[in-house]
Amino acid sequence: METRLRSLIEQCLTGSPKAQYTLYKTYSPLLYGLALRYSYNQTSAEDILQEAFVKIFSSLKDFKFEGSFEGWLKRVVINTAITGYHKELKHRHHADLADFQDILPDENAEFDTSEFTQEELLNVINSLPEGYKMVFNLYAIEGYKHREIADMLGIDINTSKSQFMRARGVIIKKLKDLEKLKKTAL
Amino acid sequence: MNTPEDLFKNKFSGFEKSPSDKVWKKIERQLTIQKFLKFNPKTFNIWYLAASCLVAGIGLAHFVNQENETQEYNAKTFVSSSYDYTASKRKVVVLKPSTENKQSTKTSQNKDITDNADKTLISEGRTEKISQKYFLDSTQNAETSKTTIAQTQHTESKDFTSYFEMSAHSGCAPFSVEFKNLSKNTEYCYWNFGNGDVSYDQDSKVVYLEPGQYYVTLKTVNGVFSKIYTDTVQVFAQPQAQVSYVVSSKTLIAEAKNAKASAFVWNFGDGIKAVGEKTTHAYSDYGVYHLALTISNNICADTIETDINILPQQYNIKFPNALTVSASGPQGSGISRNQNYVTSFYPRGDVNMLSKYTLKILNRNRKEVFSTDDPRHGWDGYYRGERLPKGVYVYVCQYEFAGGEHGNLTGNITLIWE
Repeated sequence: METRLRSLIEQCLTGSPKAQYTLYKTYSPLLYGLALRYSYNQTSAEDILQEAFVKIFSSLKDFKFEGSFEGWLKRVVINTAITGYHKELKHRHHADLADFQDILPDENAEFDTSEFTQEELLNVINSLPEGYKMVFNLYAIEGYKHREIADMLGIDINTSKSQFMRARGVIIKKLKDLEKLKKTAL
Repeated sequence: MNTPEDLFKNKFSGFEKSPSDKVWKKIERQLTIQKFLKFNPKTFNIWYLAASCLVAGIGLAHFVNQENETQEYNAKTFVSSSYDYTASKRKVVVLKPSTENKQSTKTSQNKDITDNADKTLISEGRTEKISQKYFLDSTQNAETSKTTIAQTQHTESKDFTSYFEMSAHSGCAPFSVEFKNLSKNTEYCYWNFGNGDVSYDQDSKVVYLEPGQYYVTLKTVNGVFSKIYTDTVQVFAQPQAQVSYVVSSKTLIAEAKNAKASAFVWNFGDGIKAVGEKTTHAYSDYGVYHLALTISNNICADTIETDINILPQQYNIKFPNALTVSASGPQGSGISRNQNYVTSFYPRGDVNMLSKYTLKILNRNRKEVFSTDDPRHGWDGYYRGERLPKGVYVYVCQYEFAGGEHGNLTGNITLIWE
């Protein structure tokens, strides 16, 4: 591990506000980018980020300098997002799910990377229902196995798989719609 | 071309975006709160100081409040040997009526009674919070238990009060207190004197034997209404004075036998006083003196008095009343060593203290048969070498002791032959 990072972490552990701010400044863009994918708007992403950083600083002593610090930070953000997701579950309605039930995934759909901006893709993810969003993020982008996702979210492994397939279908449909929209606009 | 998964993975790996500045401010605030809650003497700062001051302030305010209450109470308990009852605050407690009529359940009636009682309290000038609170409690109780008082049968008199005066509020054990019932319009009253004694009499007199604080309550009853008035009696421990002393010549050595006191005052009866648990006093003259010891535990005192005899030493001498005359000739004037019977006539007692001494022995014809001025010079029953006849003889002794005491001793002596 990089000695500079190690000394920064050690300074953070002593409670130095300057070191804490440096750590925040260094990693907040990456973690905010991550949080954006797990939230439905910027405000909720900022809430996740805020909560995650408070957790990071209070549990920094638990980081044993084994493995990637970045990975550890990301995991904290994802866990925070999952905790938030579980809390939200109690309060949110899932009536919109019905809209996505009948979409059949196009297995062979392929897209050009240059065709879409990050913002457009982010909007696509954010527009997904919470459960789909979680599974898609964790499986497709973070690269977790379905077994791990099931454990993290406290759901059945098959639920994770089916939700991912549905999320994928929705995304393909949305991307195709977006493609059409762009072509007509041109 | 990419699958949707790859598309997103490529686009979002290393995706960064700066959050707004307010996020850090929020984080900072939260961290500060966490840090503050995890108190650490190293990071003691103005905020801890402020919090400590706040807590101390609240505590002090609470303490002062309590202190005021205690002072009021003390003022009542200890100082009020004068009877300024209007100035001192009293606890007048109005209790729930002792019997309840369950026929009607209108709360408005309860309220009327409350108002009525309140007026009574106000008119008496004793509208203390406690009494109001008690009354509200009892009213609530009455309401919740769905019972009320039939006003038609029992209407509380406006002058119905519970009150008493006492002859004294504090004193030393055994402490006698007279209680005077000054309650108005009561059918009967019930006293509880706090020492186990109770009474239904109008006025009472109670003797408190043991030290302590006693709560005296007077419950007065008028119909279904009752009121209680409470006051306190403070009885202090009474020390018991005891003296032990020794007199040696003109000196008195005395000691108080009760150590449960803080002050000891001696009055020796000759105008001289002294303090201390133990004392020594030298009298200038012989005589009978009135010794007094007063002991005190700062609240209560006790005095014991006793007469002390400071008198010169009494000396005396005495003679035997028979003499066995030896058959083997005159024994001389020495002191007899025979332990079984007297073979030499001489005085016993404080012989060494004699300053003057004469002894004469006379026969039945008043003829002197022996005389001496030496108390150690004994008579052996011979006269000019002849054994005197058996019978009764008379001795006459004049003496004076070193202290000036003097006198005559006369008596009979029976002569026996060996």
